[in-house]
Amino acid sequence: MLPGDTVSPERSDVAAPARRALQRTWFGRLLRNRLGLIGAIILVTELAIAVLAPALTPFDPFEQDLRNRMLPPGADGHLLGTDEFGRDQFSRILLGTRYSLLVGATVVIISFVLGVPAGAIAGYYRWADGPIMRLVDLMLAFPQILLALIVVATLGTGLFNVMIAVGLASAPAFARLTRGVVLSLREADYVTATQSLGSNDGRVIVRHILPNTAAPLIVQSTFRVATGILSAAALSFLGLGAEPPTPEWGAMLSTGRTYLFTSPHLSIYPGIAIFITVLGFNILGDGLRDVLDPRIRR
Amino acid sequence: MALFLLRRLLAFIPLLLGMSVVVFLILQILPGDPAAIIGGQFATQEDIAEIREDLGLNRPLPVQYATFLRKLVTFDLGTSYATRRPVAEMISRRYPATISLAFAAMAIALTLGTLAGMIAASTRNSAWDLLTMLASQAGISIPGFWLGLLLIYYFSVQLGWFPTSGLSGPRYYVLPALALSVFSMAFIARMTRASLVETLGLDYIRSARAKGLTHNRVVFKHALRNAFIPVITIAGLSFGYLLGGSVVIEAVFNINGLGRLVVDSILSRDYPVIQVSILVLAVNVAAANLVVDVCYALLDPRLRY
Amino acid sequence: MKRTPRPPVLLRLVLVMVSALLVFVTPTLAQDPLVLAVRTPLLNLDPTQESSSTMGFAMINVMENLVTTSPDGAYEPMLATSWEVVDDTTWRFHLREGVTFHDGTPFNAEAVVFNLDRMAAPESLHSSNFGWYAGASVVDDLTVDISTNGAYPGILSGLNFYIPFIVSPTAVEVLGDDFNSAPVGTGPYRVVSHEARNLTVVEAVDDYWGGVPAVKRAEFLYVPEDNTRLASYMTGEVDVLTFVESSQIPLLGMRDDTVLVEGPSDLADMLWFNTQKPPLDSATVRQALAYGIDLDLILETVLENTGTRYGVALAPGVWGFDPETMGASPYPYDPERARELLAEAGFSDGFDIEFLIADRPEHARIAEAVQGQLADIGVNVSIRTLDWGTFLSATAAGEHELMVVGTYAFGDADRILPEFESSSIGSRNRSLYSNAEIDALIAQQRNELDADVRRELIKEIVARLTEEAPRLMVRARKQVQAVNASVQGYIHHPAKFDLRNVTIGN
Repeated sequence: MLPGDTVSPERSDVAAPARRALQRTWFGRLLRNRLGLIGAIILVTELAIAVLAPALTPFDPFEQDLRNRMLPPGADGHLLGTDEFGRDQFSRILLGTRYSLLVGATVVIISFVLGVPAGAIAGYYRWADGPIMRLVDLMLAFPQILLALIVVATLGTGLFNVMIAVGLASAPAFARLTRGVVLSLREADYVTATQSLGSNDGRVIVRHILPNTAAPLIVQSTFRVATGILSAAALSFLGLGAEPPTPEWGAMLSTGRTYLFTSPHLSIYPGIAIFITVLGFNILGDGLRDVLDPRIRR
Repeated sequence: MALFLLRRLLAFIPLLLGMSVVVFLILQILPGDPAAIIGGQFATQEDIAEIREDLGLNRPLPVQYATFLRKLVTFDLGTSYATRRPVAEMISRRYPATISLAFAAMAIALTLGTLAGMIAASTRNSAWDLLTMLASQAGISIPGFWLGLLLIYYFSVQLGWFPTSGLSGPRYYVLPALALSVFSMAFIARMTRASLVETLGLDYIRSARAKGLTHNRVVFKHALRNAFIPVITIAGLSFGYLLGGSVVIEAVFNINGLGRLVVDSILSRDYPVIQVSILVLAVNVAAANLVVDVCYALLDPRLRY
Repeated sequence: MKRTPRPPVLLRLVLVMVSALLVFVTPTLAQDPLVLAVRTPLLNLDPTQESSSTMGFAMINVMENLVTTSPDGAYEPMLATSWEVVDDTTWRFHLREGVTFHDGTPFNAEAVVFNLDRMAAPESLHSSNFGWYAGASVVDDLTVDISTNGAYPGILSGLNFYIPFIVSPTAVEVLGDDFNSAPVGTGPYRVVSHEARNLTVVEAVDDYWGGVPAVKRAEFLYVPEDNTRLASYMTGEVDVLTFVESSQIPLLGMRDDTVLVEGPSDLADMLWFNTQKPPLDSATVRQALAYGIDLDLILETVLENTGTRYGVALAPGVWGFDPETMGASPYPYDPERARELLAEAGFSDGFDIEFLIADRPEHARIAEAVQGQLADIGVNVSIRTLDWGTFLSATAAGEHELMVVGTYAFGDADRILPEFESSSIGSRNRSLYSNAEIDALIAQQRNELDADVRRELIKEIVARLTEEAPRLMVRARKQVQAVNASVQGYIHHPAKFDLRNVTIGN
């Protein structure tokens, strides 16, 4: 289950005439959608942090100082304190932005690459629809975290394997979404016209059908990044996540939780970082859906 | 209606078979050796070879699957490698915890979720609305296990209101069910609101209102029934999510349920237990979807096909 | 549009619904048993089917051995009252009179023979641990002769097995498969119910030979998650934490309602080098790493002082330990010396190496700290985490380069020395260390009856191993248990959660 799995019928705002000009472009509509804009700002900021992290970190995120472990926030210039190895937590969280965004992006790319072609083929060719969709239904019958857990148990632990696991587990949702859109367009006039002009199937699918799936897929992807980050964090919690000393937030939270009662800052700040990022993607996804998805615009 | 039910039930069988194949095949590629785990840290190679022979791990795959399936059909679910107890017994002892927790979470999610959604919809664009929607955004963004830890930290350890571990009484359900339900609750709230807002804009509601019915009467008597159809879908989908979430929540709150059994058995390569426990979870998810379909058909006869 | 929200009425409705939902759940138990939280699960209760030491520690309350040890490691009578050497390969044990198993079966020489045969049989998980056992014979009802394969001075250590194993022969036969969850022993408690990986409940018997215990009912509750275990202790759901994660010791130490029960544990954690993987096949490189890792600092900080460091092989609780030659850690932290040795071995630019760990918080902390320290001498460590089961099989097969796992810190030296024998490569020899001279010396001490000669042999073995550094000692672990202050008489023992003298109340 995901925010992107269903299409919510309507959003609240009724356009004010004064703002009509802005509405003409999707960007304008996004600007009008204030929450979505906040989401976009959060994520652009995080992207900037991820890119500039090495220049922004006040301390070396990997430099241990075992004699100054678990300093409270603010002590000795450590804004968010130090962790169980005496490393500066603020620097680690800044650098961790990279990993969380990387996890989210990779998960979506994997599920996209696997799910979209499968869905397109199922939607376009009647003969392929049955087998592919049975497989998709079958995969969807397993809770996503269980699928991911089995994949990680098979491939071994580590950030990369977690990304593959969550990506694989999210692929069926993309397949189903793509299939739905392709199916609805297969018999559309312009498609049958192109077909009768002699275009081959691959060309029809790629040039004429897939572009129409872009809007719902972008919305879906945004939500999937959010759940991907959450699932990866859950796998870290079960001991299957990123390997030390990687400052991935899920892993930081997971190891820091041992100190929850003595040094709560070790698990609270990475948790907040995950929360803000996931929130950013979710509200951006909501905003994008309002803006991009013609089925829900009035 | 009977025909519809029959068709749905028949479609269930190939799905079950598919699940059994997936569960069986996936486990064949898991690394790690159950014999080594049973043997423990100080076992010799001979000990391990002996254990492997005992467990039938040396036979060819199709033979192992055929055995697996035959036993599944006859409810002879085998014996756990790790505990030497019948798998059926282990599953049946843990099933009630997981299911009752999922239902408790579902009840919390449905009541609080629909309630919040209704308030938001009927006070559209107010501060209430904004607050509810912000809270629901937060609800789908928070890592459940982190929330669980924080709940334990504040409500059990600091305030001493609720116990932390197990499910041995009503009070024990409060924190884990809450932590488990947050995602679904937030999601149901969003869905209820969106669906109600749409329904309230429809013609028959407008005409009901034109007839002079009060706002609340319109909402409760006319709009809710239709607005609840998509909410039921979401609730059904939530059920699968709640069962999946039990994997993590049961670890946080030390609940002896199927979720923890799955993790424990994966970690100890306890093949028979992994197979059956995952299968049981998946069958429950599929059954929940079936129930949703039936509810759908009851609420909206056009959907029977 | 009207904008009147109706939260109060609806809120009440919600509360009614939620409470209605919660009522159907069963109420809590009225009795108040002593609850002990364990970190590793109790799985099989049949001693021949289980290798987890936690099971042994808990079930010492249900089943017993012929001999046992006091908390400081001295051998004491248990079901045997005295023993003597008959000849090089035969020992005679005199059994306690008037003891019966919980099912009424009398405890006698026949039962002892039955159980020794049972543990040494091929179906038993422990057959290899009973390799010394050649057979036993009934002398009279309360006297039994036990023969060993060759002279075996370690017999008391062998009989004080970490899993107590004298059980009722009748019950084994009558209960069949059910015996595994309801073993019948001679201890002060009997098992009332056992659910593997969750809860094992025991109840006091009223005719225990050592006196009826004060605690009538006790529960061993499996709580794997460190935080939840601590939280359930802090809320009073649990009375005894049988394992305290080292990071939580400072917090528990500050609590007025808590007594920390501490002492040496039966385990020592070792840092193992795979001596067959280059460049670790060079003793010089291993020494360089030994100088480059500040294990003292690691013990003091991330492991919260939960132990003491000694040489490379034996901990003080082991028979054969010599405080003079094995008392200090042979490789003090010296990064300069480490760099010199690396250069000498031809690795002045360092190298890459993999540290394999199981998914346990302490393993991860040790590995991560080692990673940070070795980076300073140019050695680049990557960490790979496996679950416990895969970890055991992977490290037995030698897939690792560095790894941490515990070994015995208790009992006879011959429990530990096989870890350096080439015949144990593939199982307990996780350094994959192979040295014909060491093999010969280990075999020699095994059958040496003269204790002084044997001590000298062990000293020589350890001295050579120290030079070779196939592994380093991280710590001889300190066992720390947290006990609620209302519980009295729960004392430290490295291999028992002993309830015999425990009382509750102020």
